[in-house]
Amino acid sequence: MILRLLDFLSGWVQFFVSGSFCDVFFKDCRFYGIRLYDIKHKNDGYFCRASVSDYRRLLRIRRKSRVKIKLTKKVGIRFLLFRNRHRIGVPAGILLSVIFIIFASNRIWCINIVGNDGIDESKIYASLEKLNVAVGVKKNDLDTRSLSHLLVVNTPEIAWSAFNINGSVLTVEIDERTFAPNTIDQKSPCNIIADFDGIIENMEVYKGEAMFVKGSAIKKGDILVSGITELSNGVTVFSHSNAKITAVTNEAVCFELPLTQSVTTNTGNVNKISAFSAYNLKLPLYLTVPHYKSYRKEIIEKPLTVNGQKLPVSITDIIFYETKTNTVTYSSGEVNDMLKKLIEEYELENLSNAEILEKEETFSQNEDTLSVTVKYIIKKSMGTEQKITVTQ
Amino acid sequence: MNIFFTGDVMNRKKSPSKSSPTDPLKFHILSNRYIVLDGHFEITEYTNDYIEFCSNSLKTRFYGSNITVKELGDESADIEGLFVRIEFS
Repeated sequence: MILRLLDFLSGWVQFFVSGSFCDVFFKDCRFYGIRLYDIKHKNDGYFCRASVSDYRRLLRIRRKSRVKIKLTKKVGIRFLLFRNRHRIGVPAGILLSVIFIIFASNRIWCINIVGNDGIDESKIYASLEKLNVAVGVKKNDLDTRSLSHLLVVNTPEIAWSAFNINGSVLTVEIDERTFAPNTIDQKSPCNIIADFDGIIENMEVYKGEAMFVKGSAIKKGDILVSGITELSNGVTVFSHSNAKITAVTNEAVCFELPLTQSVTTNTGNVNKISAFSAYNLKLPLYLTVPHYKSYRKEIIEKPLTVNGQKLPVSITDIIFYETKTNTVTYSSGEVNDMLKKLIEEYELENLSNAEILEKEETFSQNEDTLSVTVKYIIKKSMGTEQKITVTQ
Repeated sequence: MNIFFTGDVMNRKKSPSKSSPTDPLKFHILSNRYIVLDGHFEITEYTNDYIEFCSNSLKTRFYGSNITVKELGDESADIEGLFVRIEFS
């Protein structure tokens, strides 16, 4: 393969030698140090191959040997360029390609981040950008050793990093920092206070002094368990209160929906345009942009990959869906269903940790709206720690 | 006036000769497909079916089929083909 390429670069010719004194011709060739290749006998002559420079010398020898030489084939870059000498685009294209290859091979075209599980890649890319490391930077401008130190200093979540450049791909290997777990403060004295109004259903006090008993009505902010205990001998003991308290409480929520609503739907008209992106350059592959009054836009980026490596070249498809806004009047049954869905969503979001004991839904309709009031009786755990500041 | 890349063509190359004309011609026969000649020789006859060399008044003829001289150098030749017989005279 390499020999063929070298042959192509240096150029060679194939010719046909015929005449009565071919043996003399071969002898002269060897005498003058002309190397011939692939000599094959055919039709009272010989097909031979020689380099371009040797072929020029052959033309002088043939007079002496009285043989005829007919050129049959010319292969090589010089012949290719000569054939296309009037086509400026070909050499210009070759020249531009060479310049582009030289330019591109000196730059970083892809940044891969390896080793991140908890840290978002976008955060690391942002940190790299602050260090002037981005796609398109010169490879020689990157001091990998100092950059690896700076990345660790600038990003507290990273414990170790290494920058490896392989061709035009920069691989940033990182190791995430493991933070020490937050220790639960079990020593400082505290009270437990009520989060909401209600009636205590169950109360298990592990530490501290209970201020209420089961069945007591409490208000938000009341001290349920005190961290200050006064002993019979008059000594005051401060403790970190600990208790498991469950209370029953009332909760009411109201939802309202109009019967006449604006709904946005697709008309069915879809228009797709594409753009070619290379590094920071974006080339539109379209002539016109769809002129919809209202539309929904979907952007799909397809990066070009080679052997799993993402290249900084991509095709971006932008799909426009034409939409229209209609005014729809729903029946009260349909709006009821919508309201029930809203109630379900609310319960899933806010009351998943509570036990619903009773639930009462009251629907009411005005001129153009339908509303529902839901009253809940729920049982849920309560109690928030409130620190006691002790001054001597 | 002609300017040649390699100088005047009629001047013999002044590369030192590796062997003297009296040295015997060496054949390196690599199976029946490839033969390498090393030394002073002349190709006296050459067709598709045989090739004849002359060296120190000894004629050597290789018979076979599809005989091709892959490379013909100053003091060497690489010959390819399907050889069946060698004849000395």
